[in-house]
Amino acid sequence: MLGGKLLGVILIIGGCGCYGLRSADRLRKRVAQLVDIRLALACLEKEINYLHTPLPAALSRAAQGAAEPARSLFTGTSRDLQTREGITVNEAWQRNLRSLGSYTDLNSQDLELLQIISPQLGMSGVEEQVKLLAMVQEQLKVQEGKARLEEDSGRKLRIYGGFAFGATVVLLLL
Amino acid sequence: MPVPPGVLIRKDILPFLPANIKTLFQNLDEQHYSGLEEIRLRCGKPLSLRIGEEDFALDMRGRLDPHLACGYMVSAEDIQRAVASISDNSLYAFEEEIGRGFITIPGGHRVGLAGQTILDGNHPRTMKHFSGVAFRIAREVKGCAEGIARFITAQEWPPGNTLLISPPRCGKTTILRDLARILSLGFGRHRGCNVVIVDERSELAGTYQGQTQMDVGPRTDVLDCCPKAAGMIMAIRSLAPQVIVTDEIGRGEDIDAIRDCVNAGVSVVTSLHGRDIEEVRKRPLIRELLGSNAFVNIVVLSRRNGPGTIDNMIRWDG
Repeated sequence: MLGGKLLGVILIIGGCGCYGLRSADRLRKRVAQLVDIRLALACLEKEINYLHTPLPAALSRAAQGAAEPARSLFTGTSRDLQTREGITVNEAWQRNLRSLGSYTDLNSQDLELLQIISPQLGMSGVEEQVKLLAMVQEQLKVQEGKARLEEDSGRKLRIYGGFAFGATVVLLLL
Repeated sequence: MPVPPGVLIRKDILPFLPANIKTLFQNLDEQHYSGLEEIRLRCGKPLSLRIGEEDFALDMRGRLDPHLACGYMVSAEDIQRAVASISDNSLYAFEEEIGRGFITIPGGHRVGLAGQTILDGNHPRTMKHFSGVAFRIAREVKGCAEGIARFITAQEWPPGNTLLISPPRCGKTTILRDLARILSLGFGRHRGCNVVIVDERSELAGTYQGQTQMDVGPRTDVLDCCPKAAGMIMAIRSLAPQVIVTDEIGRGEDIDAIRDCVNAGVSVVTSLHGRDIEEVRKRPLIRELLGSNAFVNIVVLSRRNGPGTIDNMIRWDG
């Protein structure tokens, strides 16, 4: 009987603690993912500005040095455009952004920011493309700053909060 | 063996059309494809096809109709999709081409663009808000210039300076391309000679990303997207041509460059818009050029019996 109770206590505290740890880890990963996407966009900007590389190839090259989910977003869009089935950049980008789904730690604001690129991407001159990509990178930097603040303030709270919440639940049940 | 026009158009042109328009082409038969010269998409206007001498609309069921109003109405989205497809979703990579008003696609076909022009000083830099797309189907007709080649090489090899006079859409570009191929390959008992094509609008060789899409012969170099006058001088300086082929002369600098070629002992084979010799002689620069006996062969083309009809071939002595 006592063994069962002890096991229950461990499970509740452990479960809540793990949830807190995972939540804290998502804050850290969000910052890293925003940095990766911004660096991939910087690479794309260079391909467009200096080499005038066509977009499917430029996206593919920018994806080479990027980590997930930036790599999936860029390679997926590039692959869709190369099928030559009349799909536009906007459609390909949105489709791949949606398919990032649950395996990204970006929040809805970050995703909305990434959505604003696609109607213009590829569809204007070099100067306008560089301006567009520079603007999005600037906005991503702002999001990075916010994400870092959130990480600093929220990380410990979530880790300790998870375990503390588990302990509270146990106390209430007892 | 020549590729049937239907196969060529399905392979080279249709992939660039929006999916809903592409399906309309499924009912066209080989006879229509063989005469198809242009596909025009104009925003808010019917989809029209130029077949031979006539314009036809393509209706919602993919049937040809001489009444344009019956055609499928092209939407702004259709235009946007077509432009995206032609430019590989990368308008920035085609700024120079768009500034010139057209993009060459694989196969050497030219796609003309209409829209709002963005100027850099007085020169068009690029376009935005596209409103029209015209696919001009490039055709390679090997051997179509053999009659002209026989005439211009009868007395000397490489041939003397040759001028083709032709109204638009009479096949002068196709004939010039074939002449370049024949002169480069060799003709009759003559060995081929070094030919340089100065291709200001990528029409003669249909160059796409540096690769000529048409057969212009084994001894031919192409100066693609190069202004005619500058190209002729560049060719003389660096490529040791025996023959320079270029299209649609007419400006003062073209005439000066032809004189430089004559002085350098390089033959020029070129063309000029016009119905006949009398008409082109009304232009002061051309009258002066013809008066100086710069050209020894003059060929007049028309469309009387279809594109490439030879109306007249003259040994010119002023």
